[in-house]
Amino acid sequence: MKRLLLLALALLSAAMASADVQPGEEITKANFDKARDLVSPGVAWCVEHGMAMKIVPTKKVEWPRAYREATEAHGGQVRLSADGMELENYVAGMPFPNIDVNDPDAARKIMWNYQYKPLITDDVLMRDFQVPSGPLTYTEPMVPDRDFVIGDLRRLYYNGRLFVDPKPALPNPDGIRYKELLAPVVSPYDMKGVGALYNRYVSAARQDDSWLYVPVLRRLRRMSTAQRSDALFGQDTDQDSYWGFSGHIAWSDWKLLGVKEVLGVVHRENYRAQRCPGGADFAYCDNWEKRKAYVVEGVSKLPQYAYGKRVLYVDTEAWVTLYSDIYDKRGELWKVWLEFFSFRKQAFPGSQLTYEDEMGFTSAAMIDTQLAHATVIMIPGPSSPDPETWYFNKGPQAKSPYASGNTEDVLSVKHLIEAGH
Amino acid sequence: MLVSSSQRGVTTIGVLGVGLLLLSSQALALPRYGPIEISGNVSAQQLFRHKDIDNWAFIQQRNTFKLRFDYDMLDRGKLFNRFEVPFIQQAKLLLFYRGVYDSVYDYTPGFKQKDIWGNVAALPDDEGNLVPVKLGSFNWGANTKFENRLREAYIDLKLRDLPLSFRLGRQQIVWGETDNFRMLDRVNALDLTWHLQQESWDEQRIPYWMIKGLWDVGRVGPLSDAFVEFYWNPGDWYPAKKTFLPQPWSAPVTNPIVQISKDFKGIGDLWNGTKLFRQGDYSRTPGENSQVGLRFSSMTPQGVQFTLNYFWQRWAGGDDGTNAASIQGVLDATNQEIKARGQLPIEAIAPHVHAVGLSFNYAEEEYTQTVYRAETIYEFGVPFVDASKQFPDTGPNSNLYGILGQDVFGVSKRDMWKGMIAFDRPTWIRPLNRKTTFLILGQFFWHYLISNPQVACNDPDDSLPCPLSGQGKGFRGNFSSSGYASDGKRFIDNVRDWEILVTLAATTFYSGGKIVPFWIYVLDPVNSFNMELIWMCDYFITNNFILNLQQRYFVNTTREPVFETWGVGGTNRGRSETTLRLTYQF
Repeated sequence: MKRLLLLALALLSAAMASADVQPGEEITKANFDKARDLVSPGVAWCVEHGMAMKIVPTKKVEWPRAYREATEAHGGQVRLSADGMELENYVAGMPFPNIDVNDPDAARKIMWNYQYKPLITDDVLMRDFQVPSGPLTYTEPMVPDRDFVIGDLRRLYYNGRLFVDPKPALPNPDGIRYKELLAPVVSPYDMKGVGALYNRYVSAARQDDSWLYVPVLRRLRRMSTAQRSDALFGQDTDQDSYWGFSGHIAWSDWKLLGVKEVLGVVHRENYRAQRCPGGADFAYCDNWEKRKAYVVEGVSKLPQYAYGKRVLYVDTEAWVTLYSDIYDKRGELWKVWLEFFSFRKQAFPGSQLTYEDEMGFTSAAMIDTQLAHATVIMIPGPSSPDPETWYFNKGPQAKSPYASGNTEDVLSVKHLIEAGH
Repeated sequence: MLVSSSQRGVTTIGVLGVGLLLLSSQALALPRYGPIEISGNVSAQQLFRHKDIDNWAFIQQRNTFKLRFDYDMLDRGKLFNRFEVPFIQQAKLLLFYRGVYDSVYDYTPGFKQKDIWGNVAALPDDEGNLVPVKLGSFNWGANTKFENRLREAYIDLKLRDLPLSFRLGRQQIVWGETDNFRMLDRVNALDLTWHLQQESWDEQRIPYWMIKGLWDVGRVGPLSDAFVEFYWNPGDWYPAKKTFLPQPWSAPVTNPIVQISKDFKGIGDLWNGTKLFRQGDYSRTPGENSQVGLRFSSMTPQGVQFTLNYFWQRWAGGDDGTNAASIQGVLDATNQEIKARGQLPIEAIAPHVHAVGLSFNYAEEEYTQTVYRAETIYEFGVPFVDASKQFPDTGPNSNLYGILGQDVFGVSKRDMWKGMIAFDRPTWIRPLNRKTTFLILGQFFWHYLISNPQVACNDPDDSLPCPLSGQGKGFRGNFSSSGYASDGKRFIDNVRDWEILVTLAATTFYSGGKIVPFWIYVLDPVNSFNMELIWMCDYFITNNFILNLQQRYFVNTTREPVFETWGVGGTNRGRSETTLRLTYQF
């Protein structure tokens, strides 16, 4: 009996070994069974429809020094409020550096860590990036029905700041967590000049404020938070899905499904996004490596929310979402958000900007598996004029042809009105 | 000669368009070349009017070329990236050109149109006999057929050391919360000859040379994001532009001045050289034609964003649905004066009006997930035609003033209170669209005329519409009493205390944004429940090539004239239309 048991274990481990992937391999639809257990159902859908994964050795993602020091200094003092909706005593760094998966609050703590992740602590600017959106044939390259060029995407954090004065917080009587400005849309012409501004508040008691500048009306429209999960202008992405998840942590119920070894992209090879060839150009074909991820399920509490649930794969080291599977109200896979990170100190060899720490440059894609439609976010894209494109923690120096710095002055209603045509 | 100039215009637009398309084809994704951005579109709009299924006319074939030029001329204090400029942090130049040719004025023989009283549109001939008129009855000038205009040209300047920015040049300024209704959106009057109010007002506002400034106040006590915005129009102002039958988008009457001028033996000019819908009795100088406006905007800690507004402007002529006066009778003009001047005793007017207003928006997320918008305004001294102010010796048999006496009166001013409350709600209707919400928009408008005098006839024993004695007192609207319906019945266009309009609209996205439908319903419950139903759909054949199809139905519940001034079913009776527009954008 004991011998039989040993034999069964040996067979099982052999089978597991054969299902594993090795650096140097390329995973395609043909040999995908080897990797099936290492990805989400959404990523599996992508591989089965043509995306290829080049497997590379796992490399460590280093936190910025200032973030590490802030976590050491303040990490132990943070508490969840009684209702779990807010953080208490937070200053900077990671709120809960030690996650116990058996803690009943583990899922929420993971998501609060995700909210205050090391990726961007002060501000970020992405310039002139391209966002084609179109139907999928799986055999021919996508012919975009909408091909957007976004002038600027800016985010300015008000607390947890580590690099740009004032630190660790901007004067903040309104309790703002961050402001985000997406403006202007440069192309196509019918959308030219559209801009959006979002205010996220520290307190969960206050919903986001959102505005949209509509050039054809020449005025700002106030938006409802319910529209954060709605596909903007009909393409596939929604505000809450940016970066894998950008909703307010407190407005979802979270459940930790487990900690899992998965494949993810955190060291993308090509800085200027290289889409997969042919009909798989809904995603990028680049370097995937084994990562350890928290698998967290989120169900929104908002009645008008578009989705039934999200399942996020949050990297335990970089604290970014590697990918997110999004399900409809019937529980069927609807959309997949893929992140293609590249943590490095320089965007590309020869870049004029060198950071002291590794920064998380990324491009992304969102695929609607039910509609067979995808939106690809290329930062930078093939036509992006500024090769740098990304500006991390540059504050007033984060300038573009459209606005003069990541400052409160620019991320404001006033700026949208001032710049609106 | 006219045809050849038309052809030259088309050729010029065509060559420009092809050149830009070739240029843009190299950079479809990003229309930027260093500090310069070039973008625009070419479109062809075909419009069919169908009074009913068997009775339709081809009334527009408008070809439009738009070109926008953005130039980032000064950044980080350096002009053209070379010369240090003090005080200024950033300067941007925007030029926006629109060229239009409507070929329908060149080839259509025209089509029969009726006025609001149901009569065939007609004007008097040399003998004074009324002769039906069609589009082809006139030799339309280039100004009607063509537009060749730098619509907007301005520089945005941001100062370096002060939280102040300016926009200097020809521009549009839009304040308020309404969708396509005039209240706080009153800086630029509308050109209603373009297509009445049927298109985006971005296309129809008359851009003026103005100075606009914005002072970033920041925080004021508990209020955040506060700023003060102000503008000064130093004299480049025209009232709303309107026209008459037989032009397709006109007030549904023929030009009354032409008719009156026949009675006055060819005298067609207005008093003091004024021009209807163009120029009142003032000079176009900063001293006499200035307009100013100021608003303060901020957000309360509860998330209510609001503005407080003040305007001092000339009255634009009722492009906001007000049944106000555009002309007044010069009541003290003598017979001798009229002959000496060769001018009718009628004056186009555009008096200065003060207005104060308030707007706000609020996103209520907990119970209704709805954005609420509101706007209200109080106007001081809006001019109205007052039937109690009559020419001397007025009466049906008066030789000199006979015709004027029935139609033209003096003006009295009254205050008005106007407002709107509205909601925007993204709503899932999953059986109709599983992928995207429907954005449902509702608006409720009102106008209230304060101290509106009672309407009465000259003879208290006569009754409205005063067939025996003529009109005695009370305000009169734009469609005054001399009109007769085809059955000879006479009507009076009274100015009402209350006017109300309700709009309901919905839009969504299908096929990843490739198909964008829009539905609109407009109801005027005050004026015989006249209404308008619209559906339109944008279909993005490719990212750059767009097909737009739309239909508008103007509906009346009565066969009698409906004197509404919102521009819904009463004004546009018999003007239901179908539009097909093709656009190439770059």
